[in-house]
Order: sequence, then C-alpha cells, then structure tokens
Amino acid sequence: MIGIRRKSRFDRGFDIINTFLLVLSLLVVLYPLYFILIASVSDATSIASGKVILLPQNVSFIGYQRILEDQRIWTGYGNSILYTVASTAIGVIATVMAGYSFSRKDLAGRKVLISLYIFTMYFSGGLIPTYLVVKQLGLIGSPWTVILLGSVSVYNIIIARSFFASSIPPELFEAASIDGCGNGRFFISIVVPLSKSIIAVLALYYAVAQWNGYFNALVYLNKQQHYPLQMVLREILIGSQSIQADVADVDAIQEMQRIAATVRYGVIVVASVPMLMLYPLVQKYFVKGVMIGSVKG
Amino acid sequence: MKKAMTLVLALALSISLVLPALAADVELPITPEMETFTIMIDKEDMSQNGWSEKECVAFTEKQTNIHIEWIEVPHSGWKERVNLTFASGDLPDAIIGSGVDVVSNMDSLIALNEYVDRSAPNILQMFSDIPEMRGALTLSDGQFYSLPIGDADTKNEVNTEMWINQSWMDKLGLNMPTNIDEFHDILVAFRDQDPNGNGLKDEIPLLASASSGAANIDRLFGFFGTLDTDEHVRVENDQVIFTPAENTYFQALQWIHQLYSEGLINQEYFTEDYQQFLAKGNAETCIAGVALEWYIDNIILGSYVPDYTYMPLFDGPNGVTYWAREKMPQGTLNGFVITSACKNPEALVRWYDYINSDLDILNLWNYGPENLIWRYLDDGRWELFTDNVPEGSSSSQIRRTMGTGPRAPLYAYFRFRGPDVEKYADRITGKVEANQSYLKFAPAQAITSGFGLVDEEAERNMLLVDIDNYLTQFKANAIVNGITEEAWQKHIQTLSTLQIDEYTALWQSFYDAHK
Repeated sequence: MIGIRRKSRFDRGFDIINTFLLVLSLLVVLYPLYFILIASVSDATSIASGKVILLPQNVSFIGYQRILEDQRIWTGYGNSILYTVASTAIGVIATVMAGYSFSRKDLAGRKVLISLYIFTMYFSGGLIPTYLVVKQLGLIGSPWTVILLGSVSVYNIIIARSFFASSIPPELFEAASIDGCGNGRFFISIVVPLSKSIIAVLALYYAVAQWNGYFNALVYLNKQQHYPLQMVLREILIGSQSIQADVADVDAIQEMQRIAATVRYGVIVVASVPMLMLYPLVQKYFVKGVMIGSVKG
Repeated sequence: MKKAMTLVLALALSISLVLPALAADVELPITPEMETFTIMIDKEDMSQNGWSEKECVAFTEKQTNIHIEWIEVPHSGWKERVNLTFASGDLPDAIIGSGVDVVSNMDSLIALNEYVDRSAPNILQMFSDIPEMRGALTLSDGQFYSLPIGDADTKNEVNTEMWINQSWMDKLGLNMPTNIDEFHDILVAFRDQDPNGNGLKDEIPLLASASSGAANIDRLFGFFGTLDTDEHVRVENDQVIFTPAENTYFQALQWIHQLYSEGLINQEYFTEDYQQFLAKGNAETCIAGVALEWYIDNIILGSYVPDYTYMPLFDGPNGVTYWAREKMPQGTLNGFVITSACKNPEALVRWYDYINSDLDILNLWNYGPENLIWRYLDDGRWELFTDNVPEGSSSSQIRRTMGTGPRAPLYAYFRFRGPDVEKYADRITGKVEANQSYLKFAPAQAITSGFGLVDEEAERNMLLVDIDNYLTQFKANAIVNGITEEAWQKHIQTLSTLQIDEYTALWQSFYDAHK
C-alpha cells in the first residue's frame, strides 16, 4: 500500500503509457514471427484467404513433411553446418588476431595498414574481377570458396580493435613482460581469456552471415551435393511453387500449388531454428560485447 | 517419401535392364577414345539429384564415349552465371538452357552449319520437318550458332483459352455466346442469378489475374480485331502495326472497362498476388464462371473441372477476332550452344544429334526410364501415366529427378510427341480440342521467334522498357477508371514521345528479315 501511495498520479500515468508502448512494440516485433509459426502449420487456402490471424487453421504438417522428406535437405544441413563452423573459426581467429594487433600502438606501420583495410570497406573490384581471382586460385566449384570468400570482415576487425583498445590496457602487457612474457604468450594466456565476450559476439556475427548467405554458393558452386541449406530451401520453395503443366497428374499439381504457401513459411522456420538455438548461448555476452564495440576509435 | 523415392529408384534400376534400342542412322561410338567435355546446365529446382547421377547420362556416355563434366547452376543464379561466364572468358565447352544471348556473344560461340550438314542426320531431319527452323536459328551472318531445346508440344500453340462453366449455363438455361453482347449477358447472369446456389453473391463471372501470364485479360483485346502481346505489335499484309495506338484498341479498352466497372471481372485483378488468385479458384465453393488459363484444372479445384468446357470464339463487333498463338517455331532456340573453348565441336553436335535420334533415348532424357512415368502402348504410340508416382511426390518431380526434364539437349517436337505419336491423358483432351478451335483465330501473319541484329535488338529492348512501363499504368487506369476521348488523344501523343514509330520500324525490319 505504501508503495502505491508514494507514486504520484503522474508516475502512475507514466507507468501505464510506458507499459502500453512497450507491450505494443513487443507485439509489433513478435507478431510476424508468431504468424510465420502458425502459418507454417495451417492449411494454405486459409492463409491465402486471410483466415489465419491468431490461431492456426486446419492444422496440417504437410509443409514440413514436404520439406523434410526431400533428400536434398540433409546434405544441405550438413554442408551449411560445415561451412558455418569452418568459416566462423577462420573468421574469428583472423579477426581477433588482426584486431589485437591494430589495438597495439607499437605496431609498425599501423596507420598505413589500417587505412588499407578500411579502403576495402568502401571499394571492391566487383563481381567479375572477384570471379577471375577465384578462378585463378582454382577455387571455382570448390566448397572452399564458400568457406574462405568473405570469411573475414573489416567491420568486425574494427569492432575487435575497439574492444581490445578499451579493455586491455598497455600496462597489462608491461607488467607481463617484466615477468618475462612475450607477445605470443601474452596474447594466448591473457588477451584471449579476457576477451570471451567479443569472441562470442564475433562468432555469432560470422555464423549468422555464413548461415544466411547463399550468393557465393550460387555463383561459385558447380555441384548439387555442395549446396548449402539456404540454396536447397530456395530450390524446394521455388520447386513447390512452379506449375509444371507438362505431366499427367493434375492432382499432384494442384496439391503442390496449394501447399506452396505453407512450404514458404515452413522453410523460414527450418532455416532459422539453428540460429535461434545458438542465440541464447551467446546472449549474455552479446549486449556487453556489442556495447563495447560500438565505442569507435 | 524417402522410402518411396528408394522404391522408385529400385524400380528404375530394374527397368533400366531393358535398354532402348539403338538408333539406326547414328554411328556409335562418337569418339573412339573416351573424351571429356564440360557442359554448363540450368538445373531444375525440382531435380533432387545431380546430373552425373542420372541414368540417361550414364547410358549416353556408354553409347557415345563422351564423358560430360556437368556444371550445375541453380536456376535462380542462372542468368547471372551465364553472363559472368561470358564476361570472364571462363567458358565451358557447351551451355544448355535458355538465357544465352547468342547475338551479342557470337564471337565466343561456334557456328554449327558445317558440323550439322556433315554429320547430324537427325538435326537435318528436324530442319526439314520444321521448314522455318533453320531460318529462325540463323543470324545475320548466315550461320547458326545454337540448336533448339525444350518441349514443342502442338497442343500448346495457343497458351491460354477461355473456360466456361457449362453446368452453370445449363442451370440458368443459357447458350454459348455468339457475339460479345451475349457474352456480356452471360457474365451478368453469372453475377446476378447465384448459379452456385449458396445464396451469396460470391460468383466471379470472369476470373483472371494480372499476376499470371496465362490468366491475363490482355487477350480480350482480340475481340475487336487487335492484339496486346508482350511486344505490342501484330502483322497484317506484311505490315507491322503497333496495336496500342489502334482505334480498335480504344474500343476494346472501353468494353473491358465496362465489364470491370459492372463487377464482371475479378475486382482484385490488378492487386492480388498469384497465391490469392489460386485461393479464389481453389475455394471449396466454385465461384468462377469463365476463367482464362492454360487449362481449367490449373486454377479450379479438381472436383469442379468436369463442369467446364472451352468457350468457342466468335467474331467480334468489327467482324474479326484475333487470338494470339505462341511464337513459331516453338521451343528455346538459344538452348544449346557450343563455345569457342570446345576442342571438338563436331563430337558435341553428334552427341546432341544422338539424343534426338529416336523416342527411346529422347524420352529417357526427358522423362526418365521407360515404364516409370511413360510407356509404350500396343498401337505404337506412347503415353504418360502416374501409377508409379508415390504419395507426396509428383510426376513433375520424378521426371526431373529420374530424367532431366525439358531443359536438356533435346527438342521434343511433333516427331516425338503430339497427337500422332502420343496418347494424351484424358484430362488433356479438353485442352487439345480448345487449342485446335482457338488456332483458327490466330492471325495469319505474326512475328516469329528468331534472332535479330545486335544493335537492333538492343535498341528495341531499350524502347520496350519505357513503352511497357507506360502501358501497364495506362491500361490499368483505363480499365479501372474508364477512358475518355481526350485521354485517348493524350495517350496517342504520349506514345509518339515513346518513339513507337522507331520501335515498330525495328520490328518491321526483323519481320522482313525472317519472312
């Protein structure tokens, strides 16, 4: 009772409006996600005619069945996990090492090097020169292209550098070197253990980018068994939408047209689940790491 | 379905023991030693395996001694990849699939005349079966650089017909229309007299949608003796005419606006997407009186399909009705090209020739092994059938997994399919009859498919972009809001600023070159 009495009318009004706005914005963000979820288990005619609003209508799992039955999806999952793990490992290792080096004021040619890095953020050769480079490296058609191409981002290096510059004081290295610690030992035994939050954030950034990426795969891969999940899902989605009036079974065609919408939402769920599962694991580092990284310079 | 697919595979394997007979007039193997070529293909989204796993590929390799390294490009990246290939000069030996700009990449391709004339009896037979084919393939230098691919089924010469609900007409005591006024009255009756008997005014007298090329109402312009095709031109007495400037086009617009404003045309015609359009046709209660589609079962729920029949065309108020047919010759003319990277083009030409040498091998590619989804009948014809299609799959998918589907080095024209050699499925007979009936209304002269001059094609396409942008807006506005005489005069002026005279002249020169 005391608590309530202490609040002025203004405070109470403020609280009500505040809560209302927060709940509203939560709903605005949450509803599309929720809609995808219920649409993916509803029957397609109800979706198209706008009947699916709050609850799934005519619940059916045919969309998921169609997606998960496809032989391609498991190789796609396997490839995507492989590409994501490999490319994230490469990306995080390179980024942390580069970011740390740039954070050290005693790095020779630091200014020049960092300008060169930043230059690549604004200017790139474009698709055809990149294609030619990949070709001359002999990587066309190889899964390594997908893993290596774009596995390190300069933007992330800058985030890492800011983190190291603000959280690893130079005095730490002076103290360690008095005890006889060299650069390598200092980096591995002191810097890396102190940087778990930025490593988690970088890993999430790289993993999400690689997981959602399909363009490199689209342009450089030559074999279906190398396709990552996103491309497989894309094929299933388009394959389920296209009308192939060239064959005898009309029922199957209609069936396919009908479930196309359900498949579309199912595909979104299937593609997002692994990343959604990863997020809670790194969430506690996320806020911290990003905030520190956001202080540039 | 994994189990089902395994079943299909096992079935396919057992069937494959009965191998197709060899074509008589093809010398095999093509190369004495095994030779390897790389070929880039436009992979079908429905194909569940890679091309090297397909039986037709293995069989053909054994017969011809030609081994192919496939570059499988996903369909969504196809155009980009093809352009990249030519821009970077990183060329495979051959490219199969549509989208190769033969005219502007002529220098990177190999002219095929010599090889075809010397050692490709089946291609030569195709040229004599389809007399206009050779001319259509030939570029301005008198050589041809590509071979056609795809299904060229005669029943698809008219892509879209009008399908009318016969059982509604019987119920309301109506007869097939013989002029546009009767047609209008039928639509009104469909709108007002509740033919589906549910007490609601939910009928859509004319179901069409701008979201689908096949369901487009542009065809209705034909009742007034004009046409609105993708190119916006038609040909009469060897003269190319730009149709959106014709007075008959104005008449047609007014008529279509009348239908639209009276609620006779699907009121969401311009706004809905394809899924919403499908949902209308697939609704549990039948609501479509007349529908524009490739075939009625593409849009209407299966149980209502028998209610429909094609609506025979009739001459319009100007004494003539036109209904556009597909461009002839059918098929993807730039489908198969051999690039300058190829060391032995003759071998690849003969490889294509072999695949097109008889029905056994052609269908092994196009539909997979015999007796899986296609089989021979006792009378020597063949048919597609669905007995082996497992639950949850479709013939389309099996066709593209066990075979290649039509995006392959094959050209299935009337020698291999169509009424003379193929028994159509019962569901298709309606389409075949409709196609025959509508073909009579196709204009006698039309733009054919083929290749123009580099500069002319580029110029024409550039002009078309602006013309298209303007016309889409203009038409939608005229149909929804109506059009006055002044608005039409303004339209004519706008068209002249869009350089329609130049545009038409470019088509005229194309037409003259291919006549």
